[in-house]
Amino acid sequence: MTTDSPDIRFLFEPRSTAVIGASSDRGKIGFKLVENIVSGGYEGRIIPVNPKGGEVLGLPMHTSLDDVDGPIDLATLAVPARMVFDTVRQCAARQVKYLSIVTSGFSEVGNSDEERKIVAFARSHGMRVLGPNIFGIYSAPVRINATFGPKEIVRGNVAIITQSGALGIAMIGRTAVENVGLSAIVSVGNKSDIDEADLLAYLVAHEDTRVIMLYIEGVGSGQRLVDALKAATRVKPVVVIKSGRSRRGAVAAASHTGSLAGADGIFDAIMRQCGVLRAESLDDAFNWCKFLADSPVPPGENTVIVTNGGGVGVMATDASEKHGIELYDDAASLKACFKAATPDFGSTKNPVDITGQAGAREYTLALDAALEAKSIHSVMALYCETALFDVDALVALIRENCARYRNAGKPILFSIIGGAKVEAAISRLKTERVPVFGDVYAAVSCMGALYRHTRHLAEKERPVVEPDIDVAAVEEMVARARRDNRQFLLPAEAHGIMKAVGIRMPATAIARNLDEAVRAADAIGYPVVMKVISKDIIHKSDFGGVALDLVDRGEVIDAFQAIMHACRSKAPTAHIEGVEVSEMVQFKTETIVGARRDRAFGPVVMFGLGGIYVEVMKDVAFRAYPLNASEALHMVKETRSYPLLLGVRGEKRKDIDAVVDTVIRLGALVRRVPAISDIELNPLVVYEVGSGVKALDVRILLSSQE
Amino acid sequence: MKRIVVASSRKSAGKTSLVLGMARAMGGSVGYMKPLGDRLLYRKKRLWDYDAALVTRLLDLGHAEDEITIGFERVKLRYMYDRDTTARKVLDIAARTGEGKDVLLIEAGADLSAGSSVFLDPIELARTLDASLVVLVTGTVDSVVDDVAFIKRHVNLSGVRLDGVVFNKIPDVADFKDTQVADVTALGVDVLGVLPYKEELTHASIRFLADVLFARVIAGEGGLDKVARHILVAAMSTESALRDPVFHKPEKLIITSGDRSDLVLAALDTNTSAIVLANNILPPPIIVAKATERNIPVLLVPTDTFKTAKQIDDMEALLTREETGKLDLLASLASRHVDVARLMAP
Repeated sequence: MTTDSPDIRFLFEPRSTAVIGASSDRGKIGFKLVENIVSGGYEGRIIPVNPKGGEVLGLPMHTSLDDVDGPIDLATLAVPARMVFDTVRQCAARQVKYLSIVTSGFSEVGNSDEERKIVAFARSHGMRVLGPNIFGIYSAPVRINATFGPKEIVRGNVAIITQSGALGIAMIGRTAVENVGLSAIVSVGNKSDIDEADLLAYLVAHEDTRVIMLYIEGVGSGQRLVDALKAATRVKPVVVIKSGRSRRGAVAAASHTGSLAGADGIFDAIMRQCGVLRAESLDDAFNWCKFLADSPVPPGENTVIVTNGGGVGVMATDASEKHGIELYDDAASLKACFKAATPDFGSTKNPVDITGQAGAREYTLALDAALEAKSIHSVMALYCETALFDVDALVALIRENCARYRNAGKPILFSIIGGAKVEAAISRLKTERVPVFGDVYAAVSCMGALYRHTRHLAEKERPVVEPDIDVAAVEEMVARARRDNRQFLLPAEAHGIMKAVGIRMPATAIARNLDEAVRAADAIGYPVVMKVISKDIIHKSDFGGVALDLVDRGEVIDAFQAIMHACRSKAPTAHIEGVEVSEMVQFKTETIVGARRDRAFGPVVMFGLGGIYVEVMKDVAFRAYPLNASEALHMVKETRSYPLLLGVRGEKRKDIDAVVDTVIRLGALVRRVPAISDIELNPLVVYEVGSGVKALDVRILLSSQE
Repeated sequence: MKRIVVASSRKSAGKTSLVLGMARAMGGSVGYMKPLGDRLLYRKKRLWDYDAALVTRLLDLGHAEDEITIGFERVKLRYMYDRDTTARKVLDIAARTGEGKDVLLIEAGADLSAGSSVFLDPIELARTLDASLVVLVTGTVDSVVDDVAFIKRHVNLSGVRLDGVVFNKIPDVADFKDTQVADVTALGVDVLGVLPYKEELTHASIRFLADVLFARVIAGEGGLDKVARHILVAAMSTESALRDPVFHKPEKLIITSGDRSDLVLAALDTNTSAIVLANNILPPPIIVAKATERNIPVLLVPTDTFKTAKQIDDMEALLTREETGKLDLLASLASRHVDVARLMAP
């Protein structure tokens, strides 16, 4: 947002709102907008505008904005696309602060130039643009429903930002049915100007908003979004649904870091890094939002499952493992707590099985005990319909316990399974915002989301420490490649960059003939590795351009001849500059570390199991840069190969700190030198603690434009 | 002991085959050396000459393969030796490899000029070793006589005994003798033999193919000694491939991509010598299992279908040590068509 931008509060809490293109025709969007604003009980001034004049819902329509006195904070434009720019000019003349452009027919249909023109004009006149191609904005603080969606919106604590207009309107309907109260719902459409990051800035500070839900199709300014999400999740839960998992990035990728990211990998990893709760379905998203909006923060990790059926108990246990919920397992404490509620043939182990004969008394005993127990921090209560426990009594018990647990600051949720009466009870309780579910997995996933958010809040925010990099030296190498019209760096340049970045590589020398190769090997010390240097030969080993473990002069001489012969015969037109002679590094744990400039998110870093099987094993993790050491360590821990770094089969622990440092250095390099699009160290050999890492091979690609 | 330098006017004339055939036909104790390597083989971090390694093994000479070749790359030879040290090295190898032998065959480089810059061309070798020179000539009817005439008239053979020429890969030996030999003799050059063209000698073994292509054998290793007599580049649909007559020929080689499972499966059901899968695309496990069961080698190569096919097309089918049938054929051809007794005469 530019410094001359109006305060975002004027979008969410406008004192006056104009509807340009208002209509008295009930079939038109211009009518619906005015109707929703009026019926929603908007507290500010409503200014309908139509050149033909007339009246709508008792409000006189202005023929032009010129007729309007006083400030206009928000103008909603519902005029044809060809008239939008002129209308924006009129708004500028009246110093409107925010434009909500409902009209379609811009970049979504290829008309990007017109959209850019409108935004440029608006921004140059101190206005911000929401949309175009949106359904509008609803904001509870001033009771404004400037949308053409449903009239009835339940006020509450969940804010929704959606890129899809149609889905957004449908979501409003769904929130009404499920009694998910909204504090705001904003459609961002083409995101020509205002995006999620702008809106989060307001919603994070908005007290009545307890949970924020985002529906995202594509990410424009990813780095801004990351910063905004990181800030938001430190304060309140953010649930994201993303569709449109484009394959574009993967197809265009020329490095492992690019191709391994897959269609959705980077987005998913970055959302985790930001502490965002990513939902796969709308059901999950709504369930999580509702539960997170009303549930207290658990005081600890110990969760107990109380059930009257063994089967559902096991299902809930499985789901708990999947969603990272710690089931309390102190047998003695559990027995002391639940023995009164559990018959002899039941089980006081977690899940606590109070058996099918349990009625209101047993459930009450169990839930009372769990509420009282200081070592139990959250409860998932399951019920399978039996003849022994009347559903009406169950409803009362659920209602009562829900209130008691909330007051005590301990999360509880219910999953109840049965026939028509149970289903009716679920519907009834849902409208009362009681966390009750028909599906065990849905219930457990809510508790999982709550714990993920709670753990994220508990993590200390550590500063990002920028490593020292000799940027001037790096840029000099890059300029050399640019002068040569190359988009990749030759080994000598790449080595120079590694030195400037502070990453160790094996001792290396360039030899242009056999004499130099022998002298280089003698100087470095045996054994050595030899690799061909040619800008025309990228995959050296496929061309016979690599010889390993050369232990004496004789082997160096033979290897030189073999490499030259093989490369000349397999790539007769290649320009061969010579060979690179390097220290032969003893292989330990081979990893891969990469960084690349993602189209949406800017610099991203990758860590994984390295070597020649990178693409086969696909054991990698991603994060956005900047990141602190703790986030980088989380990324390293996310890989299946992490135990290799801890040391397996009697091996000593590896230098994980050095891996983390390398990840940060590569990220910083890509951020500070925008000409570098991809860098990859594979393998990065990791030695034992204190002995650091060594990059055996480095591949650096440049972006197509400076 | 007689020393004979076996040279050729052009490359790939069949010198190694002639050496093997002659050595067998001579029957006595024959030594062998190849001072200038040209078919480079890099194994176990050392360079070997393919031909030298093959002859040493097949004739059971007992020398390490890398002890009978001085080097390959001119850059290395110039770096390590001058004219005198090269001559000393050649004499030293000859003394070791010829020790106790009746005849020492010295195989020269690719053609008459190969090795001149490092003093290892056949004429220099013949002078250094005081050896006879036999030139193997192959090509069209016109070019072979041109080659002999050129050598006789324009190549400085002073100090060298040219024993004669051997013609190789001649499609119609009788006709050649009738129409060409007299012209060659008229030039003052003895014709020591005329060897016929044999198609079976041009078929490569799958093991050899795998070696040359740097291929990874992912199945059917036991079938590597099979021979590829026909080649089909299967870049078409399976239906079209099945309609191609080559697909139904025995002992064929199929070149296709690893993701053409249906086609590969169909090929495995026919008499196929091997399947080359381009682009390093691994086939599904079922194909690997089936190929292993049928003992049909599956070779995985990094190059694309076009480059792979071109490499195979450009390749010269060299003998491998497992091809004992070919070795017997070479010996029989040499006995019947080369005047071995005259060659052995002092």
